[in-house]
Amino acid sequence: MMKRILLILLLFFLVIDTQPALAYIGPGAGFAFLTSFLMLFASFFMAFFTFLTWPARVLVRFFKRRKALANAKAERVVILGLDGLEPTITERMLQEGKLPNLQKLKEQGSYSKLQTTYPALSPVAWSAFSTGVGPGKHNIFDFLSRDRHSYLPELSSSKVGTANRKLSIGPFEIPLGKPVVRFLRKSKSFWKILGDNGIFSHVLRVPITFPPEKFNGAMLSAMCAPDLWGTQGTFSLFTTDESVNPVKEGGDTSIVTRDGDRIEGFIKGPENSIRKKREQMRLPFVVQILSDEEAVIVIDKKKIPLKKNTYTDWIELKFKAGLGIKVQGIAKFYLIETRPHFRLYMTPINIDPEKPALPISYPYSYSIYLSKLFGKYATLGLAEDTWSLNEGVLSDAAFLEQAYSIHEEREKQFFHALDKTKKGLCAVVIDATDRIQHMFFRTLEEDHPANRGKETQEYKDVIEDLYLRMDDLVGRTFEKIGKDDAFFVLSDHGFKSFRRGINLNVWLKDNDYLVLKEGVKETGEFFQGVDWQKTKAYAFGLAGVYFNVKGREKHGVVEPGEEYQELKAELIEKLSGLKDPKTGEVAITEMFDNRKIYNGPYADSGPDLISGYNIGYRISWNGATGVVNDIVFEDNVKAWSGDHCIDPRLVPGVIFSNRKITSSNPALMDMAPTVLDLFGVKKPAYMESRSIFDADIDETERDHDFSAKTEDVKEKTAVPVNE
Amino acid sequence: MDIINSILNPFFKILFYPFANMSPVWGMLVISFLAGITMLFIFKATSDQAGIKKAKNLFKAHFLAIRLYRDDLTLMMETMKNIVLGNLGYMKKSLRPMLFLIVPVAIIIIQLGTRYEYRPLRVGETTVVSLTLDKHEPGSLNDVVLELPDGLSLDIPPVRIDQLREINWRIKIERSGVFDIVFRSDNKTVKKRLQVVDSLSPLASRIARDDFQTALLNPGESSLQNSSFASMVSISYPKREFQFLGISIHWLVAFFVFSLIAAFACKGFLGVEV
Repeated sequence: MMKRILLILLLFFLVIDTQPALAYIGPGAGFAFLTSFLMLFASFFMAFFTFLTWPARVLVRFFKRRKALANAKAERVVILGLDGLEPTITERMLQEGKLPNLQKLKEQGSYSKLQTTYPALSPVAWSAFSTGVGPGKHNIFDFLSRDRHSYLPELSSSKVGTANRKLSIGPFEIPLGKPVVRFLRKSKSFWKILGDNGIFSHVLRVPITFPPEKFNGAMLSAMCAPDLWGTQGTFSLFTTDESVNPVKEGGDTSIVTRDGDRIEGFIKGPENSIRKKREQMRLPFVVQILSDEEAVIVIDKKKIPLKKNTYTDWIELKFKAGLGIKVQGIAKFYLIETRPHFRLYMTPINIDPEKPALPISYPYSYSIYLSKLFGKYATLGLAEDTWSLNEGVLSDAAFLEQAYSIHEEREKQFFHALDKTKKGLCAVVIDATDRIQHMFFRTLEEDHPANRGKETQEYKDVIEDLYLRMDDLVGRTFEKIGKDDAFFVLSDHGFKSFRRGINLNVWLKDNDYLVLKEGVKETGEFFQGVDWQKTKAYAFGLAGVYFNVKGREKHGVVEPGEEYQELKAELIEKLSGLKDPKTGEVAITEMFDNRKIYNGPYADSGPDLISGYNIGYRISWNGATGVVNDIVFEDNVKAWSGDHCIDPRLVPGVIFSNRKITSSNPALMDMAPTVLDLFGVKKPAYMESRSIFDADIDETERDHDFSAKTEDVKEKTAVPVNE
Repeated sequence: MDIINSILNPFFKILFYPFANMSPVWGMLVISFLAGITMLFIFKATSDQAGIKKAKNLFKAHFLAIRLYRDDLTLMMETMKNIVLGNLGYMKKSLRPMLFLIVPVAIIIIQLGTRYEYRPLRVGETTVVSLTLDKHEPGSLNDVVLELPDGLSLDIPPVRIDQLREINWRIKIERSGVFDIVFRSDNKTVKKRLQVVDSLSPLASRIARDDFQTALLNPGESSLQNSSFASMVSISYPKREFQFLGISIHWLVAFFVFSLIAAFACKGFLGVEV
C-alpha cells in the first residue's frame, strides 16, 4: 500500500510539479505524458459536458419513462439465452440433481417448456423473441431466402451493398460513403420500444441483430454478422498436401509451397472494392518450421509462434486495398501438422471489433470499447467453426477448445454488461449450447451413423459437461440478481438427433413436381439444371417448400388460386406421414400450410409449405443446398449430428424464471410483451403474443397453432413418433 | 565530467558537422529526428510493451464508456474514477523506460543547449567577460590582468566587485575568429575561449573549477584546473533566436516537437507501443 502511495506521489510531482521541458524525457515517455494529459483533459472535458447536460437528459428521460415507471414490476430484467437447450436433457439432469442452479431458479420461480416457432430455427425463433411477432410479421423464415428471379439463395436477414456514390480515379473506384447494409428483419424489437420509453438495454449476441439497430442502449451483433469475405464463415486450410480433397463446404483449401522447412503462401482476403478490377486481396505469409511440434508464421513482418494442436491468439490481418486504405480482420491459427505434410488451419477472418469494416455494434464504438476492455474477440455471427469439424479439418478436441474459448469471451462481455446494467434490460444469447450440441449429439447415441468406425467413449460426456457448465453460468448470474430483478434462462428451441437426411427435391422430382432439364441426371448446387418452366415446387433452405407461382417467381407455372390450393393440398397429403423405407419410421410428421400458421404483411414471402420432420430426420445436406440427385433418404454421417429443424412441436425450448409463470403454455415470442410488461410499457397492438405472467393465453390469438404437443403429433400421424 | 565530455564531444561534433554552416534549423531537425528514433528504440527495449498496450487500451475503453453510459450518473462517476486510475496505471508503465531515457536525453539536450541556447558573437558587438577569483587565492582583484588577442579590444575599463571577488571587462569585437582570452595573476594564467564565428559551434558561456553542474552544462570547454587562481570565468554570449518557418520558438520546444513528430511517424513501422 505504502509503495503504491509513494508511486502515486512521485507521479504526481513528476507530472504536476516539474517544468514541461524536464518532464519530457524522450519521445516515448513524452508521448506517454502527452497522451496521458490529452486523454485526461478530454475525459474531464467530456465528463464536464456530460454532467452539464445531465439534468436536461434526466428530465427528457423522466418524461419518456413517467408512464412506465408507475407500472414497472422490475428494476432490471436479465435474460440469459442458451440457444438450443433441450428440455429432455435438462429435465433428466434436474432430476439427477446435476443442475443445482437451474433447480434453485425453478424452485424460486418457474420452469416450463417454451414453444418455438415454425420452423424451429434460430433466426426465426430469436426474431420472434425480439419482436413478439411471428415470421408473417418479422419476415424471417429461414437463414436463407430465395431470389424470385434467379432462384438463388440470399441471406434472409441482411443485405450488404457497396456505397451508393463512387469517385473514379484511374484504376481506383473510391466509395464516397459507407457500404450500405440493409436490415431485412421487419417489425420492432422490444428493446427499441423500451428505449423509446427511456429504458436502457444491453443486448449482446442475440441472433439477427446485424446490422445493429439504433436504440437507447448498447448492442453487439450476432448470427448473420459476416466474416471479412462477406460469407457466414469460411475457414482456410493451408497445406502442402496436393492430394488432399478440397474442402467442400464452409472452407477453402490453399496449397502452399515448401522449400525445406520454409513454407510460403498467402491469406485470401476480401474482394478489393476500391479497384475497378475486382480482385481478392492477398496477404503473404511465411512459415518457418522449427520442429515437429513448433513453427513460426510471419505475417506483415510480425512473427507469431505456432505450436502443434494449439490456437494462437487473435491475430490482426491487414489487407492493403491501395491508396493507403487497409481492411482489417482477425483470425486464429491452429497448427495441425508440420511433417510429412504441412497443415495449418485458420478460422474465418472475423471483422476486427477494434476497427470494424462493417458496423457490428450499436453504438459503433461499443465493439471497440469491448475490445479495448477485454481484447479481441470473435465477431462472426456463427463464430464457432462447425464446418471445419464437419469437413474433418479440425478434430473434436480442437473444435471444443475453439467453442469454449469463444464462450469465455462472451461470458466476460455478459458479466460486464450485467454489472453496467443498474436498471433496464440485459439480454445475452450464448451460442456454445447450440453449436456443441449440433456437433456432438452423436455422442449420446452409440449407433448414430456419424459414429461408424469412430471411437465414441472419449467424448461421451461432452453434452452433459456442456449442461453442467451452463448451470454454473446460471449460478454465477443468479448471484448478481437482486430481489427487484426478473431473471430468465431460456432457449429458442430444443435439440434432437439428426440420423437420416431427406432430400425433398429428389422426392419432388420422382413425383414430377420438379423437373430437370433434358439430359441432366444430377443438378449442381442451388438447382443448376432444373427446368423451371416445368417445375411446380421445390424445397429450399432447411424447412421450406416453395411453389413456382406464375407472376411471383420469374418462370412461375402454378396458377395462383385454385391450382395453387390444389397443389398445396396434394403435397400436404402426400408428404405428411412420409415414411423412410429403410427404417419404416415416419420421416415427416406433418407438412404445414403457410396460410394456417403465418399471418401478417410478409406471410407470403416465406415458403408455401413448412416441413415438419420427425425426430431423427432433417433435410439432407444435398437437399439443403439444392442438389437434386437420386437419393431421397440417406444416413447423416457428418459430425453435425444434432438438429432442431424438425416439427416445432417436437423441439420446444425451455424457460426458467425467478418469478412464477402463470401461462400454462408459454412461447418464445411471449418474451417481448413479458419484458415490456415488467417495465410497465404497454405492448403494441400488433403483437399477438402476451406476457407469460398474464392469465392463460388464448392460443387462437397466435398466428399459428402452438398448442399442439408431442402427443398430438403422435395422434395425428397415427404412427409412433421416433423419440 | 571532462573525461565524459571528451568522449561525447567528438561524437556530437561529427553529428553536427554537416550542419555547421547551414541554417541552425537543419541541424535541429536532423538531430531531433535521430534522437526521436533512438529514444523510441530505447523505449521499446526497456518498457513492458504488452503492458503499455493493455494500459492504453483500458484507458481508451474508459474514455469510450463516458459516452456509452452518459445517462447514468453512478456509472459516470465510476468511469471517471477508472480514467484517473487508468491514467496512473499508464504513466506507471512509462516510468521504467523514463529512467533509462533520462541520461541519453540529458546528454542530447545539453549538447543541443551548447549550440542553440547562445549564438557566437558578431563583429562590432560588445560582451562582458567576468572572472571570479577563488576565495582561497591570496592575491587581490587588482593583480588580475586581462590579455586580449588581436581582434578584441577593451571597450571600457574593468569593474571590480570586491564583495563577490569578481572582475568584469567589456570587450569589443573587431574581427571574426576563435580567440583565447588570457587572464594573468602573478605567474599564473587562465584561458577562456571566445567565439566570433558564423557556424553552429558549441559554446561554453562559462567554465569553472570543481563545479560539476557547470562542467555538465558547458561541455564545449574543459573546466578550470584545480591550481587555477580563478573559480569561474564567463562570457555573456547573446541568446540565440531560433526560428522555424518564420516563427520564433525556444529550441527546446523545437526539439520536443520535432522528435515527437519523428517518433510518432516511425512508431508504427518500428512496432513500438508508446
